[in-house]
Amino acid sequence: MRLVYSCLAAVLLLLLTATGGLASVNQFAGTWNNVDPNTGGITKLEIATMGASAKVHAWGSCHPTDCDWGTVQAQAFAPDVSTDVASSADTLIAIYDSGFSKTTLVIKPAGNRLSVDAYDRFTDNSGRSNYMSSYTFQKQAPGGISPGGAIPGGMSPGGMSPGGTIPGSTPAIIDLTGVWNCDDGGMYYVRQLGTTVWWYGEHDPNAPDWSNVMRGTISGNTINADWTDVPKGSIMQYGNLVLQIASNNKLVALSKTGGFGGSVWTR
Amino acid sequence: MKNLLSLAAACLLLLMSLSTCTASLSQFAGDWNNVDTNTGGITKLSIAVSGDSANVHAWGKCHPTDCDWGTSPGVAFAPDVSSDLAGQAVALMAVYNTGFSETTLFIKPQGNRLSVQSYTRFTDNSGRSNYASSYVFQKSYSLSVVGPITLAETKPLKQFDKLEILPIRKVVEY
Repeated sequence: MRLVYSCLAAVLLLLLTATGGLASVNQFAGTWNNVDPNTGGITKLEIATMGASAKVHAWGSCHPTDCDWGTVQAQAFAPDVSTDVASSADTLIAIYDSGFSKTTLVIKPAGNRLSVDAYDRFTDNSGRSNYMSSYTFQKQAPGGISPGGAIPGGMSPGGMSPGGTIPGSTPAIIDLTGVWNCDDGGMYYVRQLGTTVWWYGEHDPNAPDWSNVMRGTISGNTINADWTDVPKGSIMQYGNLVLQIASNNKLVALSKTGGFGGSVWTR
Repeated sequence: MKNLLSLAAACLLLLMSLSTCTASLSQFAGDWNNVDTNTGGITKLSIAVSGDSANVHAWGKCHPTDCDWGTSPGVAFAPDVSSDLAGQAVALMAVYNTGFSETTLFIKPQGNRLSVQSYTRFTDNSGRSNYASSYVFQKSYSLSVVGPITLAETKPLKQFDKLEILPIRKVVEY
């Protein structure tokens, strides 16, 4: 009887191993979590397969909850032109378009995990460098808990993902470069490079009563900054600002020192 | 004299190995031959680099001479968004369009070689399977001092016998 159990176990093990080694679109199916819980990039993938086609749903690290990149149709690739894709696919490619960047995900099996190379290409002439990132994902057990949720400090320089913003959360890719209006009546010319943000602000371009510069660092969904007036205007003050990035089109002052007037920036 | 030549050769080798270790866009520049002389896929790449941009010229196996896929702009990728592309590029992407298929190349350094992942997607509803291929390329060094000799092997021409040999007619701005 013991021998029978041993044989059954061996056969079961063999079957499991064989199944794991099979290359097919099905091997991509399921919910996959990034093995790095502190990633600033892609946190989770949900891949649905049907026949030779696959759909990829991705989430990027955002605060306080992950950003939903949405679902895109993926292309499956076989090892050669005459091989059936459904039964032998060894790569999926999914492309996300945020409007100002394109992210191409190249997804491959790596044992019982997935290896994902993400190629981010900026299309907005912002001067930011295209960049690539590599991730490893492990399959979430049925009924398992998705990491989702808030990831402390979880935001990579230059942003993590295409896709839109989610109310109450940090935008998928923080992109603040541009001309902003403020409720202090001023115009602010903002430049973001990675996690660093600069601006020049003035009340009246011809004869400003105040004009200031700011340099801040993005951390999560806030900007911690120093600002100072400059002598284009007549007021000469300086201080600190903590700004909340409500979206790529709205900043809100959480704290101000030095008599800074503005509180809400929009564009 | 013999010692001097040995020293010069050693210095040359050292310089070559140093230059291939540098992570920059310039490490992709040059003429590259597929290490598999019997490949049915891409046989040669010629990559030109200027500043932070690159152009990738590819050839595929064809008979009697290799098919010229033309030149496609290579999109360079840095390790992160704030890195300098020219100084720190770690990958190139180039896309070729035949009209009935689209081939995307992801090119990465692998020691002093290039690793190339090629993804061909058919767009003609022919029912053919999209497929992926992997190649390794080694640099072709020309010694102009002693004549037009190429260190890398010249590929023998093989019969056009694979469906993946696609003469490229149009280069896509990706």
